[in-house]
Amino acid sequence: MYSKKKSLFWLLGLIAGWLFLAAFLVWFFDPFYQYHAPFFGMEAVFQDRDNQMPGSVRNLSYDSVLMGSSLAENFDSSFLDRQYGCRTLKVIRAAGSAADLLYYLDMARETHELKNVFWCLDLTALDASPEHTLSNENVPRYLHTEAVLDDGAYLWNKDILFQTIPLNLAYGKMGRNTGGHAYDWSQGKEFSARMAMLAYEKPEERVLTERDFTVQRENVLTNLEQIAERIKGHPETMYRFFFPLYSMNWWDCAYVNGELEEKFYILEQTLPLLLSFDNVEVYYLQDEEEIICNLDNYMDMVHYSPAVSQYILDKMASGEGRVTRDNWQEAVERMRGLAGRITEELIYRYYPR
Amino acid sequence: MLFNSVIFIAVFLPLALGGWYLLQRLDNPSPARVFLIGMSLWFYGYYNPYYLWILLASMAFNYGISVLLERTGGVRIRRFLLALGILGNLGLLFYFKYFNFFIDNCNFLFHADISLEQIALPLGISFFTFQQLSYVVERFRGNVEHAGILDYGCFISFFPQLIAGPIVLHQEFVPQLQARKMRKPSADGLYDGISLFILGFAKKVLLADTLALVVNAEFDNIAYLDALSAWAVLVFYVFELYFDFSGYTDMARGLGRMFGFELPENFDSPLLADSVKDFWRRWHMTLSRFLSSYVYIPLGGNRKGRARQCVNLFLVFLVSGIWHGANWTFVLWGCMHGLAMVWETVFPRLRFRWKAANQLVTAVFLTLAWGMFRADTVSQAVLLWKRAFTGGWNGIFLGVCNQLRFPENYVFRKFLEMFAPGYLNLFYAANYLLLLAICVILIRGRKAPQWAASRGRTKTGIFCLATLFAWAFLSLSQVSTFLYFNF
Repeated sequence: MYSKKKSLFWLLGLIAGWLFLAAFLVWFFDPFYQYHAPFFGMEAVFQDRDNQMPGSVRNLSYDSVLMGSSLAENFDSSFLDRQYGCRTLKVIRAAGSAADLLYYLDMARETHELKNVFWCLDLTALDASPEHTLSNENVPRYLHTEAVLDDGAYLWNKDILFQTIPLNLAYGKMGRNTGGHAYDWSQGKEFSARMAMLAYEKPEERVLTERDFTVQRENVLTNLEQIAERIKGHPETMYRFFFPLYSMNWWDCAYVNGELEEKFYILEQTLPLLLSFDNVEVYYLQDEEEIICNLDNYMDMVHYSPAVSQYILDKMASGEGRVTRDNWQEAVERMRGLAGRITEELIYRYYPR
Repeated sequence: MLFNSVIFIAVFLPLALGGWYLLQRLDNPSPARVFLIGMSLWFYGYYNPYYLWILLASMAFNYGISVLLERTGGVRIRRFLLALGILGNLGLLFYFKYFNFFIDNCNFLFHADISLEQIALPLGISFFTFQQLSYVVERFRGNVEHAGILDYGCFISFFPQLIAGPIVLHQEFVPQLQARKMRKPSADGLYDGISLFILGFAKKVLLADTLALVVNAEFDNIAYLDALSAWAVLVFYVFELYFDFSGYTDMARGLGRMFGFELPENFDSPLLADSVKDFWRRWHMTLSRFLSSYVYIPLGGNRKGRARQCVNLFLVFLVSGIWHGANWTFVLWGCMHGLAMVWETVFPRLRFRWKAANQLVTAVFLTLAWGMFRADTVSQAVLLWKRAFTGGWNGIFLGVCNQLRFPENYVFRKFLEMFAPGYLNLFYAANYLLLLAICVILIRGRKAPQWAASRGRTKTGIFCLATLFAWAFLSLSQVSTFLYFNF
């Protein structure tokens, strides 16, 4: 038995040793990329979107970003790298609200020069609040600050030590969620009409009046203003916007809920504004009837299969589906016509009339 | 503030200890006491500063009663002051803890529609109210001197015991505060305190919170439980409650030692009790002491015949039940214990010859009673008992074990999920049995202070303590609250 004085010395020393070791391991493997890119050529693994995003935006090496919601997660960004000769980082935010994505875009610009911004622009992202949600109390502070003082929750965290680091190592070894397949969640998911229909129980009646979207209208205009500001402020960056291909269930749902006019309002505000800039290209493929009216491409109302993701990238690479200042209105009209046919006729291929 | 939080361990405790011992070097002890009171108030008001006003008002009221008792010698006035003190304290407790319960029951009984108030229950109100009640009574009896305002402030607000006890008496705290020998930090006190704190910290964070994974999930799911899983959940709850509360007490006592105070013991291996009477000698001992001194004995204790003793015993446990919470579940839990005590008093010889058998019977009774204690409603508790006795077997026990997903077993889980999913259920069941075995070993082994004294200064002991601390500290990413805070 040691004396109490000596025991105290050893006890405090050992505790300090353990805590140092734990902090060193987290710093070394740094699964959220808070301090550095992976060492010794280890592959970066992206499997925890919200936690890994701020660190990867700050500390990884890239010159282009692919932004969007979960609908952009299954895109193979290495295709963009090959096609446009760049190095792309996926910047994803749940629901893809424009304000949150702009927050990350600004963060990226603090440390990186961007050649390209590929933006999978959700219509719903534009009528969301123009205030970003990344500093609310549910988000761990250490992710978004560079101060060391609040990093304790990261450096001494059992979940990170016992779960995140082993998972990253295993995924890295297996080549899962690495490279162009960052945050890809499609593995093991079923894309079928059955799944899509499970997610949408078509109501028998539609609401009688269109929803009043005064507030959303304000949000759309403010969000677009903020996007325009970033585009104008960085003429050296090429912006390529494209819209995710929502299933016909989504369009029908918008119709029965009286929200269809709001969706077209967003399109009619967005397209001309984006096209007014020389450093912007816009691709509009939402009216691809063979895709959106085939529910086997979906697992719910909006999430499409990796094949559809690749289809969008292929189209963009070949310049198909591009809209210009001269023809954007035709694209909107085509979509309006298709939406009408969906709600009148096409949806009943799957649902009883 | 919680003991098991980074802010407490990394910021508050070093500041409080450093400041306390630094100021103790002054000839005048007052700055150190003011500092200790200030730190305790910071600790108490950390999450909700509004609670501070209630604590301060309660302290001012009781201190005022003591001042008046000091200044008056007339028996009638002293009795009046005693009555005022008791009513004031019970009134405070009634308003914050029982008012809505009372209104709710009035509404039910008289078909009234009195609206409920939005009343936030201040942390630890039952503890600091009882502590002050005992002070007022002892002041009336003339057993304790009138305390200086700083001594009184330290006694009530001393943060290690403020929120969940142990319920410390004036006569065991203030003399320690006034002793000169405690004015220097000692390696003995610090080591004993830190080692006890670590053992309590580990009990709470590593064990109780892990057991809670099963308990919390399955108490929302009682209707689907079969007999085995109902018992599995009940047993885990008993261990969770014990390790949670005794872990808190060990931390509180350890902190007390770090500051030079010896706080009273609260647990003496209660789950090994061989009768309900024995259990109450071992469980929450400072509450039993309070109820015995200020309820049972004033009612007449066992001095007025067997029948009166039984009534007194029942009343004590009724009070105990009500003290634990404003819900019929607590009242019934108290009644169950009261009836068991009466039974053991009336039939003292109706026991097995073998201690183990008595322990088993007691354990079964306690487990069922804790089911009532944990349930949100009486009907939920009854349903749980029904499932425990008539639930049959539907194999859901494996589902119960599946709740045991924690970071420590993550790698094994993932490995099995990928390569041998058929063995996953077996793996979770093994986790359950492992935790059960650890709990049984711990309740049968040495108590934390004894272990710290006998093994805590060996190489292995120091290594274990350091490892447990680091492991528990890493677990603070998911902080939970203590079960006994709201009692």
